[in-house]
Amino acid sequence: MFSSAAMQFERTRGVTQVRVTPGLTHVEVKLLPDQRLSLLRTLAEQKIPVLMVNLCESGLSFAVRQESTDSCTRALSKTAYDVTLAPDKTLVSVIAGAMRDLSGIIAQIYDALHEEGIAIRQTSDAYDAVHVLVDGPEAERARLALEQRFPEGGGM
Amino acid sequence: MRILVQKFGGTSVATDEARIVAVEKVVRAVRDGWSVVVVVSAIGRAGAPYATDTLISMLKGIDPVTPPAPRELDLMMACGEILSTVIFAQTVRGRDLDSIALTGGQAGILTDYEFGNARILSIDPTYVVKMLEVGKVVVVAGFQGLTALGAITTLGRGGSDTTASALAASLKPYAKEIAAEIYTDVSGVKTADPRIVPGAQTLAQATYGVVAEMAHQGAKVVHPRAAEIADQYEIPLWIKNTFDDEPGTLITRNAPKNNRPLGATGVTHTGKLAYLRFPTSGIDDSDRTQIEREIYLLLARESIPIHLTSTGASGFGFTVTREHLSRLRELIDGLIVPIDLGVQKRPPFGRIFLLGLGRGRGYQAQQTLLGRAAHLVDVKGIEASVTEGVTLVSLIAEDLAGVPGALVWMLETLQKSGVTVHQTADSRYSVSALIPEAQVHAATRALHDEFGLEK
Repeated sequence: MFSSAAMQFERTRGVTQVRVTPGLTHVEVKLLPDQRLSLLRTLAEQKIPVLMVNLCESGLSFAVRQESTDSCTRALSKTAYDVTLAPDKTLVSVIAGAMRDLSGIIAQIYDALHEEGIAIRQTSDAYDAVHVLVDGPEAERARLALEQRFPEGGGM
Repeated sequence: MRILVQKFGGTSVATDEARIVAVEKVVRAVRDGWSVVVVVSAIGRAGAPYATDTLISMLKGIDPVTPPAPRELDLMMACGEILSTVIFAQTVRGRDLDSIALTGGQAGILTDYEFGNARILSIDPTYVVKMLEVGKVVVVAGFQGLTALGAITTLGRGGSDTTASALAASLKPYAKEIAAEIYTDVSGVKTADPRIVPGAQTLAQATYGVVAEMAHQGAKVVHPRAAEIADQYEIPLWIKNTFDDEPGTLITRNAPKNNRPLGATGVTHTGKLAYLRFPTSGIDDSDRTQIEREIYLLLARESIPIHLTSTGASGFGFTVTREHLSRLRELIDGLIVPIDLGVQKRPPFGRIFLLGLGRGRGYQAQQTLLGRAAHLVDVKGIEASVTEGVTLVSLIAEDLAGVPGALVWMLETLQKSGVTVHQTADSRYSVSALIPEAQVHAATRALHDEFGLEK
């Protein structure tokens, strides 16, 4: 009755998957720090979801999904800010287990993409993923480079 | 069989009095018809005679210049839980219940060979099941397992929670009902740190995802590894207080939607951080990517973890825990990143980026040297700013994916409270803001209040 029951438990540590989300627009807005909130409020009022919000001295940058690009453009055109929109970006997400216990995943991502000559437009990270925004035409090469760098189940 | 796995942490077994209270929970479960597996941590916390830290100090104290071999260090550390197991089993016996104490290996826990941070590969629960079948309370040493070649390993941070969760998963096929209870010194998962928000509530129920996020964002509830295993095998996981009879928090795959704004479940904050920001205006994306790569590779070699990475045309940044800041200063001050050196046949022969945290001594020395080569290469200095004394405050919610306005709502709340925000982050379960550590109380209270968490 009680035969040995070998079960798999802990999720593989390190990178488990590379996921690609195409169709994003990268938006950079030059404004004063105290104007950031007003801009984000404008987008929220238009029900435009923003991703990867990055605050910096000269303003902020973020990404929006392609279907929101037009409404984002309209909303921002009503403001007086200096806006740059770069369409056709792809989000490449490196999914990992126990990310906070590992150092070096971000370094490996940068190294792998640098070897392919792929520039990173924006990054963000969570406890289980590192996201990088790259130019759409380079996304497939980015995915392949990262899958090669983090072989299936091997992680780091 | 109805099988209940109960895990008692260090404070729950720290004294005779605490252990008697813990054993009472076991007795009650047996009376309620459960077959009980107990997982225990080492007795007490740092400073206590049999606590893990004490055992490590004892070993390291033999010869401060010769570090112990990882295998022997694990063997030493595992002793704390083994002692605790035998003492707990004997205390159970004193309540007229038959019991047996098992090491992790005897309980069938097989791990890989990563001493100090081993991963559970499999569990063969045959012996545990046999002992339950004959009516024993099975007391298992948490935080440890055995390699295929018989070496004792320890599971790293959250090891005993992980043992409890994984044992419950392995026993599920043998049980008509299974549950796990993690006993600690708080009465469940709180909506905020009660030391900051005295009116913080105990969540009656939460999802594995939310609890894992809360743990990752600084709340000391249950280790995310344990939550992940419980999620994978759908083990109902209770967080309870050893020292009261409150119902605690039930963690499951699905929890009823709450009516709070954004479905908020809590506010957390991380520890002491430093935020570094490298300005790169005028540097193209390709060069910036290469500079970041050099820094991240350097930090990875030094095992310095970084978080909250952000990058863009105007610069890049990240946070490090305060303990790593002085080493990071040494590494970055005067760091040189050469790019395309020798590609051109005429001057400039390439680009050299000189990095520093402000203008440190290393930066200044390199600047003097590089000044002599200015006619040969383009030299550009990048002086990073360092903001010390910051922490990440996070609003946790059931599902924020694609919810417009969540970040704005959080930022507006913080602004109204006069809290400065240096950077933001978002994920499926949270929106976060990097703020001055001195404002963490104000920020936590404001968010807790704004998102209806006292109800």
